Amino acid sequence: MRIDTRIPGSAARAALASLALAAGWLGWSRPAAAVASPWMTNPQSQVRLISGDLVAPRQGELRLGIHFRLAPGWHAYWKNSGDAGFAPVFTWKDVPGLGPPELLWPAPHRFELPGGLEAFGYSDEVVYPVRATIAPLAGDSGGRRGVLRLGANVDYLVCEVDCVPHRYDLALDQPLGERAEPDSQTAPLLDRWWREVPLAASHLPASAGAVALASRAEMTLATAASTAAPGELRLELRLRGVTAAPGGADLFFESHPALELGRPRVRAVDGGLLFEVTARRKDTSRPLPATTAIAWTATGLAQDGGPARLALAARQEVTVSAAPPVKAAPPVTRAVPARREGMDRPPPQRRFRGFLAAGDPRAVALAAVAAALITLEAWGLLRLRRRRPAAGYVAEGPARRREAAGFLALLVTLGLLYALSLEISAEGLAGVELALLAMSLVAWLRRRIERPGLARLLLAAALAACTIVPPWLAGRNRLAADTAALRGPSLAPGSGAFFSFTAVSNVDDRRSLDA
Amino acid sequence: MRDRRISTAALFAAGLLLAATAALATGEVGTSAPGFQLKGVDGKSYSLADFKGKVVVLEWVNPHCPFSDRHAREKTMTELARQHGEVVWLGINSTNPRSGDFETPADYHAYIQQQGISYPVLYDESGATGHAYGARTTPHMFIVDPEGKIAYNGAIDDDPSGRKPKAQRVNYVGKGLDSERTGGKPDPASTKPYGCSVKY
Repeated sequence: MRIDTRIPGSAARAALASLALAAGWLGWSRPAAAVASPWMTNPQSQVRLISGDLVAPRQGELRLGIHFRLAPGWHAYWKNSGDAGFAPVFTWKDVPGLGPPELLWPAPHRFELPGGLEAFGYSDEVVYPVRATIAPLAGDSGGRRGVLRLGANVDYLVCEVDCVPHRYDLALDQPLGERAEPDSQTAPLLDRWWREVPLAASHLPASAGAVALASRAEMTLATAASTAAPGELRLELRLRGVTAAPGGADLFFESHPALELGRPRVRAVDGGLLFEVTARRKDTSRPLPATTAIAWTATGLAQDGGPARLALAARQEVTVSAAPPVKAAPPVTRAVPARREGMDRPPPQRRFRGFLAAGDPRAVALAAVAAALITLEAWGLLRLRRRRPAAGYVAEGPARRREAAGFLALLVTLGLLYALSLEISAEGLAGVELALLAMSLVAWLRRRIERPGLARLLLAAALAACTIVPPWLAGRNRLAADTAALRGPSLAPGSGAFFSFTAVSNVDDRRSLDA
Repeated sequence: MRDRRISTAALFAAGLLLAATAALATGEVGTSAPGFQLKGVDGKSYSLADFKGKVVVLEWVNPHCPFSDRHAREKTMTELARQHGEVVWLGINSTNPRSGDFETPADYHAYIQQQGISYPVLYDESGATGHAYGARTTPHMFIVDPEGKIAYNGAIDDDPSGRKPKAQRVNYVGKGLDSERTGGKPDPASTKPYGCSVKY
């Protein structure tokens, strides 16, 4: 049933993958009591259809699953495959008395690909849970129908760096009876993967008292004032009442027709998590729709009293309103109780902004670079002006003053870096600091080369590059917290169109609590 | 003094280069199509500027990718290019020379002959053009209108796995080119591309 028989990549890699899969299968070769289709096997993956019940009741919910085992390094896809690939397609055979099966998607993982691309999906093993309902057949007293013949066509793609599509027909006979008899092999497996399916964000697990989360998931989307690219927006999702589980929290979106939603940055804020995402309009020649739905899945969450790792999902209907910047505070934001964490206290960085008169972290970064350059020059590492070598080792008066000025400039650099830390992400700040360190290193190396030449020229170019990097990084890693919605009118973008997306409802309770 | 002047010049050059990189658009519909000058498998040099005033279709390709290869075997692109003779069709391969998927010109030429590919295929070994357009998959399709603006960005059709008969597929690029022919705009103007990732 393969639609393509090519096996990309090196033969050695394929052989290794086959060997690893074979080793896995040997471990699996216990007596097959499970209600499952035979494994369909290829060098990259195995797939089968499973049922959670040895005997299923003649009426009620039937729990099924599409079970994949993947060779090391290969991954299968989530409903949004990310930059490449495509989501698996499961087509079910019509079975009299069986309602349309509903496919559920376990919380996905993120895979890095060459060139900064990324994929969303699963590695090693995944079960896509499937929920179906058995309805009583007219005139069936219970004895006539003993077996349901289930069938599904599976059309999927597995990728490592290369990708291979596969297609199989899977079938199993599901025995029916008066009472359900769970399968000791597949029922726990299905249970495990059912727990991986994100909860609707309007609910919390029953153990936490089923507190409504509708007001806890706030989403705003606003123009990013700092970016030059036209049509770039900044989306923020604030989840309250959760923290990041070990391994970190992540946020995934379903493909959106009008917006390209980028990689999220997440940070802990008081009482929850804040996800920040850059969104780009896919079509800059058309206006954004007045209302749109953004479907998100947040994974790797933790909550007191809840399961170790929690995932939440919602499809939030949002309105897009072109509003003047100052008056744009959306109602949902006003409803948020007083926030005490960093971005809401009177921001000390305003003072820095005041004297830099730029209101832009790039300016702060540039000032930090300038202060660092002054330090290097004062300490004789930059040597913009050629000086005669000092006579003797003892520093003279002017030299001592110059060195002291160097320390002062270093102090200013550190102050500016602190100011920057309030404006940009931790990764951005780390990058800026590394660039400053690199700048010092390059200056030191350059000083060691006496004669002008290619090496000195290259080092000068490297030095120049190091000075450009911090403002650039600061611009790219700017936090979205200075949008009007979160920082109040005084810091709102001064001009241009202002769009605010306000969450008005959660409309996709894709999984009820009793699931 | 000379040394200092050189340093200043280097600083400006580096600044300009970085600013240019940061300012690059990434293929959004309605933005100007990033220019390029790339060498073809046939050894000739191709520049987007040469085709100003014409509709240009850009197709990201990789013969080692099952999706790109399937469309080559099914003649999806060559037939569409033939139907729209007024259009300039260019294949662009952004595969990194260090990738196992990289094809030498001789091998590539043989593949083009074997598959009957009728349009030029260009090497973008640095990946700069691919990144400038935000090309993510093979195939990833772009339509550039006669004004040099990106008019379509996305998949070739609505059938990632190729399970539908060809006649039943919605060919987005075909529809877009029909619209361009009658002075309209492609609708949809953007879709989610599918396929292998570009091997940058």
